[in-house]
Amino acid sequence: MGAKQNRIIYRHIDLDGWDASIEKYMSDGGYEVLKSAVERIPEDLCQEVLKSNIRGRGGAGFPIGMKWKFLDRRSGKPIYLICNADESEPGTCKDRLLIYQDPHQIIEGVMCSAFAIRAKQAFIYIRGEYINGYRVLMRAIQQARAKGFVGDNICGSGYSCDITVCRGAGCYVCGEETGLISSLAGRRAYPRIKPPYFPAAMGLYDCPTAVNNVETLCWVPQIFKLGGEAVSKMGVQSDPGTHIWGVSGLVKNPGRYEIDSGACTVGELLYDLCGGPLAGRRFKAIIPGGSSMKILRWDEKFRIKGADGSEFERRTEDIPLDAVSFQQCGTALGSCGMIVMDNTVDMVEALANLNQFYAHESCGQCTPCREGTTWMSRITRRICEGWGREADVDLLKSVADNMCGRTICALGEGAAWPTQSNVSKFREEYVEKIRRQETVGGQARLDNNAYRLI
Amino acid sequence: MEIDSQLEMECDALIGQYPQKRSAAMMVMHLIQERFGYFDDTCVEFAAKKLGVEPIEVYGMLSFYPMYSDKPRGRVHIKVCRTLSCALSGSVKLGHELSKLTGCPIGSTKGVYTLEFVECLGNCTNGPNVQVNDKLFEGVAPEDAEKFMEKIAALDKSGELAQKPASAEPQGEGFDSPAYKG
Repeated sequence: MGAKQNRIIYRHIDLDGWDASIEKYMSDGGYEVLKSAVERIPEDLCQEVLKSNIRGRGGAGFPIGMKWKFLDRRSGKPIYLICNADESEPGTCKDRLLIYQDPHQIIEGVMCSAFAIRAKQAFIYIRGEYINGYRVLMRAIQQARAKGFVGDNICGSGYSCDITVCRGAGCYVCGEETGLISSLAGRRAYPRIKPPYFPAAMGLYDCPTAVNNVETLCWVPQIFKLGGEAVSKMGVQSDPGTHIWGVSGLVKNPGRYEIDSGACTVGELLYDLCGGPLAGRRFKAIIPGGSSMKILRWDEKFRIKGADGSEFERRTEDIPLDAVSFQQCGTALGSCGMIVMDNTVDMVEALANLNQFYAHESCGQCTPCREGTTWMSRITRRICEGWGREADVDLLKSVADNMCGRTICALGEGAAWPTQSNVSKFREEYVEKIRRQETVGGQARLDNNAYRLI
Repeated sequence: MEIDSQLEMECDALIGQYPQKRSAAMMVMHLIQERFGYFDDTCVEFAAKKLGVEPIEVYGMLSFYPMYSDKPRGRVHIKVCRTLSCALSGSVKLGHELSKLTGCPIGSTKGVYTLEFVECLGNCTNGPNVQVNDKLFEGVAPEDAEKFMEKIAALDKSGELAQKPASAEPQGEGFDSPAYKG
């Protein structure tokens, strides 16, 4: 094995002499897939996508083929396609480069998908902070429209579909599909409860809607070009394709690396590609895929049941980089934004930092999440500030446990998982911090921390 | 605030792109925010009229989304990312340093500066990240805070830092070309 990049979606990123213009994209075979796709039957194209078994890249990892299959085509209502470019999960920054450097790949992906599901209109919902990204996309769409790839009568096929770009305004919950739909309908980004508001049946304007991540939509032209079957054989069977790992935090070379799924392990990614820990440090923990996923201790060992029923032990650094392997270890790869922490990091502060994020971003619609996130944030902050109580550790866990499964959207769970996993895996640090503040008073805060995270 | 016919036209153009008028709310509100810097009652009522909703709906969005503001902000709006990836590379310290240098308590406006901690700016691998108006600065180490502020002051003086409308041409060749790299 050994860590090696395989750039498919990122094939144009950071290339010498590359720019975001349509000429450059077309000189590399751009829009050829769209031209040939519009001559095929949409149902066949959907079938190809289903065969490819590609999972969504936004975090939940739901196969796109299935998502499209669930679209309610019998209602007679128009179908909408939304490209979710509201990338705001902490640690995730893979879509940013695609938007800034290769917007035409996204547009081709959107148009191919729109044709396959026969969408009436496509939207790209881009986060408000990517203001230059919005400009890049708008110019790219204009260029594509002038060449007949977007708008009326695409490539002379008689099929028409326009792309509208909408900017978000700094709100994390807009990344949740039903929240995004509310925002796009001109309301507060309140997620809606499923059922009945499954976007595939009751999405935007209560019409069937497909909401897909940027990277997911970039896979669609690849599937059309190579065929679903070929794509399904890339990487491991259960999670085909590549993943773009955005490694941030305390490693020598943080960055974005596109790797075949399952082609290497966590250790190979962090040591071979990212250069290992900073000088004189040791890895302590990683959060595998965006801050909402459960944290893994570096020295943790997992009992894994193999396919043949045999059991074996796996260390954190030996986890292969694919969806199922992470699931077996009780976490998920989410959006592949890995946050790395080393021995200088105070885990209580790290959690306090994340809890403050969730408390700020909870939309406030349902009680368990609104109250729970704020409560957890206050508890972790007071432990950091030297006012922790002995009962706080269990209280934290109980608040988190009571949020799970009782909220309208997945933000509630995403906020509870970090606390649940952090408190159970690093319990001794919490206990020690609270104990020390009792013996040395408010001095606990002045510990030898290299980092202050809140 | 003066609502001119130019603004009305731009709003109508945005609204025309959506199957329902109200859907243009995000973009129309961005346009108004860009033009006036904040929302007063006139703006809220104007947006409501354009979108065909009650003013309270517009006010509801205004108070929900962090990028819209009902108070004027400084000409130089500094947003420091405080979420974990950036915090691990020192952004919290950076925020406090910038606060000392600008004399502006975090979360407030003083003189030309508004200084804020914000959540994830989406450039986690190159932290600490700071967004000033519509420009992103990456890899601003806390030790370089002073140098960074000098740069910002110079850019502000030359007018390069001025917030450009979203409808402007992309800055640079589609890249975020940070004017400063720490």
